[in-house]
Amino acid sequence: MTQAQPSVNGDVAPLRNVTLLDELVKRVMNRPPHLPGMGCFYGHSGYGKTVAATRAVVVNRAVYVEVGESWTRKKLCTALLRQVGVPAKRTVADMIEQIIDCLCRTKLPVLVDEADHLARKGMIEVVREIHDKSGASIVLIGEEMLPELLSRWERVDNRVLDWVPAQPASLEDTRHLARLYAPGVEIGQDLLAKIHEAGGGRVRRICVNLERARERAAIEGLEIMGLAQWGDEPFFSGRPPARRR
Amino acid sequence: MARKPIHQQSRMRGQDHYWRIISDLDRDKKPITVSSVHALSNGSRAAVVDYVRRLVKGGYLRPAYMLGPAQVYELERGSLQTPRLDKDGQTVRMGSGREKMWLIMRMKKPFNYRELADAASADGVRVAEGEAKDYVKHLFKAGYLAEVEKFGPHRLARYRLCDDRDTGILPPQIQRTKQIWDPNEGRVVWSAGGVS
Repeated sequence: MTQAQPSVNGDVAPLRNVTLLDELVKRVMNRPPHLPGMGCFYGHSGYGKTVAATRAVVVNRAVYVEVGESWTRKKLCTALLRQVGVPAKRTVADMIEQIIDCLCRTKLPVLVDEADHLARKGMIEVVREIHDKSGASIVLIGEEMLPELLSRWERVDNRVLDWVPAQPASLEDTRHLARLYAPGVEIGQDLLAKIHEAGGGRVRRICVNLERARERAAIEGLEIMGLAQWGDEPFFSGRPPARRR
Repeated sequence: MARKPIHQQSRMRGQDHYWRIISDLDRDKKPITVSSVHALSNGSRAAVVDYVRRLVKGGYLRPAYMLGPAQVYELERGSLQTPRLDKDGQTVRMGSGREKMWLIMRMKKPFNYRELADAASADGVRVAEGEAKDYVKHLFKAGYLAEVEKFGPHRLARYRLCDDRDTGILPPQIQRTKQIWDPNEGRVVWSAGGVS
């Protein structure tokens, strides 16, 4: 891509989930002092939770960690300390103290992505301790089942101020994604609607189809890509192709 | 006299230094006064007075009580990075595009420069795609970024920040002398003529 592209950022309406998560983070941060400060944002894979997290991190200068399947409590602590630029001490207990100290002083919110792993491995109590002692705002982000997983830890469950489910991508979201992923090509409204439908609300799938549309337009030298130009090529639906006969 | 390029300056100076001193005094529960900050810094008293005034206006410091003739301040709001404030206490926007881009890269997700510019444009800051492209180009050359998807005829390359190059909270700076300075490590990490 060598030609200059029109800039798409800044002044267009953001994706629905971006707004939802940002509002949740702000609500948790601005809560009255007697209320608990944890939030939970959950939804199906591919709904664009991580994109939303990126924006929430940038706007609120949040501390972000993505928990890995293999993580231990120690790894969680070192990752958090690394994000805030504090050299980690040796034991988990000391590190938790360092984290609490830093969050107390800076009042930064924390976003924990893939928080399902925390709940499954019992590391969630570490997060609760940090929350209780620092008063920091902590938003857990995870899959559809996250609220159910958290309900097993009553002490955590009680501290959640608000549960916000991620929403499937709307047609408006699809339009926004088209501006970002297919710049320089005008995607026809009919094709846009089809792509939206085929995506089943998954941002990821919509992006793949938009990307294909852009690529086809670039290869065939088209400025407008509508349903007529697209033809009957199947859309990417995330499912393996049907059996060939 | 013109200011020296950053790699020729002493490590801690100016507002960064004052802010560090203030944070340390607060942590050690010692009184924060103009004199106590000035005594530990190598700057002029006027510069400390000026910075403290900006911090008060910006809501970072709060006048608490008098210790003899000296005003003692308390830290109202902490910050990982040095607050950059204009004389009315408003946050200075300059350089915050880079800061935001670096913050996004540290999330360790693959990105192309367009997505980076889009994600970093928030909060009244607008990052031009060209700016993002240039920053990515330099960081890639300096070995910060790994290419996860190759550049193709109709697609942009995607990158990811390498784990061992996630050096800290401060964004690496591209200097006019065509080299990259990492303020976290306090060294020049790449230069157009090779690192000396």
